[in-house]
Amino acid sequence: MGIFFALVQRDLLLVYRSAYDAWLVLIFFVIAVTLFPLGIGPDPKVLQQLSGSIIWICALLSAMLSLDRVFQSDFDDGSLDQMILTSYPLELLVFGKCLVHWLTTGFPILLISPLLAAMLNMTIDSYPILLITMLLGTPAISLMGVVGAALVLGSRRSGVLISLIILPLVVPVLIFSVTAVGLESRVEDISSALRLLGAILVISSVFCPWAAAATLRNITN
Amino acid sequence: MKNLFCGISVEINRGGKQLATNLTFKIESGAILLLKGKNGAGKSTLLRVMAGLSNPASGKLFWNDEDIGKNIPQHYGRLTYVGHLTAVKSDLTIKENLKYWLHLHCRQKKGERQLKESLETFNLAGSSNLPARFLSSGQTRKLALARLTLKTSPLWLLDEPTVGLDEPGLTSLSSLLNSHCEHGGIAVIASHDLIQVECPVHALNIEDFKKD
Amino acid sequence: MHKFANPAQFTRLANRVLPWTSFFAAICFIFGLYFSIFASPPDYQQGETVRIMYVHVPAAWMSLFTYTLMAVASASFLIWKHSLADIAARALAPVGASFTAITLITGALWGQPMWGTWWVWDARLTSVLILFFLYLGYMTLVNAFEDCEKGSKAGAVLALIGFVNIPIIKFSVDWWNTLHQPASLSRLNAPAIDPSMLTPLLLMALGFKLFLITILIIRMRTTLIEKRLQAKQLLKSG
Repeated sequence: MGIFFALVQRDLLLVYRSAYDAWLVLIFFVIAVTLFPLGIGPDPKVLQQLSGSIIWICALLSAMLSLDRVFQSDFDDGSLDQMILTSYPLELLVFGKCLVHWLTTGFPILLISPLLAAMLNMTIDSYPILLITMLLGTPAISLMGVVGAALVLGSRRSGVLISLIILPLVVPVLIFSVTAVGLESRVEDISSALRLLGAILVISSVFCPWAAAATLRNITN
Repeated sequence: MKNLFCGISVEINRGGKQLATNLTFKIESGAILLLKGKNGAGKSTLLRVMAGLSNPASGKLFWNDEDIGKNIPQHYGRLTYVGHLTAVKSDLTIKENLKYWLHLHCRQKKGERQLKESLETFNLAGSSNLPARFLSSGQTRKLALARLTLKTSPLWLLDEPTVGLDEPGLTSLSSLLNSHCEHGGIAVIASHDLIQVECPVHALNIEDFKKD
Repeated sequence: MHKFANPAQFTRLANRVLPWTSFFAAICFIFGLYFSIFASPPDYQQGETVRIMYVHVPAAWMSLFTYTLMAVASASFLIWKHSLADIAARALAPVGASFTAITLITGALWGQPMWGTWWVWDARLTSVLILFFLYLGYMTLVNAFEDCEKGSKAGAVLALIGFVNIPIIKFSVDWWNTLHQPASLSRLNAPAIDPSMLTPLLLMALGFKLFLITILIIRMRTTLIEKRLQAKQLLKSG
C-alpha cells in the first residue's frame, strides 16, 4: 500500500510543481463550454435543453487533453522502467496514475460544472444528477484514457491519437450521462442510465488498469 | 550465500534486427561481468534482458538454476537496475527523488538517516533540497547511482555508470562495487571506461556473438 | 495452427486457394445481383429502392465480421506471437473500414428516397459509424510508430479492447435510439423477410465473405513479398 501512496503523492507533487499545465485543462473546459452559446445563440430555452449535452461533450474533450502526459515523462526519463522493476503489481501503480489523472482533470471539471450549468440555464433539478453523472463518468474516462495513453507511448503525434482511439470507446459514457441529465428523460431511464454508468465504472476499474499494465510491459519489451 | 547468474543460448534483437545469438555467460557471487562492444552492439539491450524488462528472442536466464522467466517479480525484487536513463524527476528535489525511490523499492520504511547516508555516498548531501533540474549531468548520474545504496540487492545491473562522473564520483563508485562484491553480490556493468575494483572481473564482448 | 505460421507454406496454400475463392465470389455476386435486381419483388412500401438493402445489409454484417476476424488475429498475435497473425490483422483493417464506408454510403442512398434526408441517425447507421472510427483508430495507431513491432502490439491490444467494447457501444446506441426516436419513424431495417428476398440476401452475404477472403489473401501475399524485398535490401546495405 505504501508504494501506491508514494506514487500518487509523487505524481500529485509533480502536477503541483508545474501547476500551469493542470490549469490549462480547466480553462479549456470553460472556454469550450462558452463556445456553444456563441455558436448556437443565447436563447435560454435552447441552452437549457442542450446544457447537459454541452457540458458533457466539453468535459469529454477536455479530459482527453491531458492524457498524453500520464506516462510520457516517465517513459522518457526511465522512471517507467523503475516502476515496472518493483515487485509490486503494475496494475495498482497504473490505477494510481488513473487516480492522479482524475484528481487533476475530472475532479476539477466536476467541481466547476455547476457554475457552467448555471451559465447554460440548466434546471435546478438536474444539478444533483449532473454531479452524479460526473462522479461516475469522469473516473471512467480517466481509466479508459489511461489505457489509450499506454497504447500510444513511443508513437508520433500522441496527443491527438489518444483522442482518436479513445473517443469512440467512451461513447456509451456520453450517451448514458447525457440521458440521465436530459430534460425529457423519464425517471426509469434516468435510473437505468445511472446504473449503467456505475456498471461501466466498476468494469473499467478492473479491466483498464490490467489492460494498461499489459501494454506497458509489452512496450518496454 | 553463493549465487549464480547465468544465461544460456540467449538471442537478443532490437527493432527487428538480431544483435547477438547463442550468447552464454556465467557469473557468480563476488564477481563482476563487464559487457563490452561498440556503440549499438547491444549492451543496453542485454542488460534490459538480464533485468527481465525485455524477453530474449530465444534462450533463458537462470538465477541459482531457476529460470527467471518463471517468477519475474521475484527477479525484480533481487536486482537494482541503473540504466542509461537516470529516472530523475527534474521537478523534484534530490531528497524527494531519493525518498520516492526508497518507497518504491524498499518495503520497509527507512528514515531520514538512511537517506542522508545515501546522499553522502556521492557527496550530494549538501544540496539535498535543490530541485534536480539544477544538477549537472554528472551529478544526476550520481543521484541515480545513489539508488544502489537504498537496499541491498544481490544483483546490480549498471549501464554506463561512469558517464560524466568526476574523480571523487569514480572513487565512490569503486568503493561501492568493492563492498558489494565483498558481501557476495554480483554486478553486470556495461562500460567503455575502466573501473578500478578489487574483485574478479570477467569480460564479455557482445560482438563475439554476432551472427556473420 | 502453427502450420500456417510459416510464410512460405502460407503462400503455397494461398496460391492454391485464391483462384477458387475469387471464382466463387464472382459467381455469388453475379447470381446475387441478378436476384437482387431482377428476380426479387419490390417492397410494397418502399418500392424499388429496397433493393439497396441487398448491398447495405450484407456490408453491415461484413463490417462487424471483419472486425471480429481482426480481433481473433490480434489475439493470436498477442498470445502466440505469429507474425502472420499481425499481417492478417493489418490487412483486414482497411477492408473492414471499406465495408463500413459502403454501409454508410448505401445507407445514405437508401435514406434519401425514403425520408428525403441524406443521413438518418438510426441505430444501425450510428453503430456502423462508430465502428468506422474504431477502424480508423486502429489503422492510425498501427502506423504511428517508428518501430513496426511496437505498432503491431499496440494495435493488437486496441483491436481487442474495441472488440470487447462493441457490444457495449451497440447496446448504448440502440438505447439512445429508442429514447429519441419519434414513433412514426420507421427504421432502416429490412422489411419482413420473405423467402424470395432471403435468397439474394444470403447470396450477396456469401459473395461478400468470399470476396473478403480473396482480398485478404491477396493483401497478405503482397505484404509478405514486400517484407522479403525489405529484408533483401537490408542485407545488401549491410
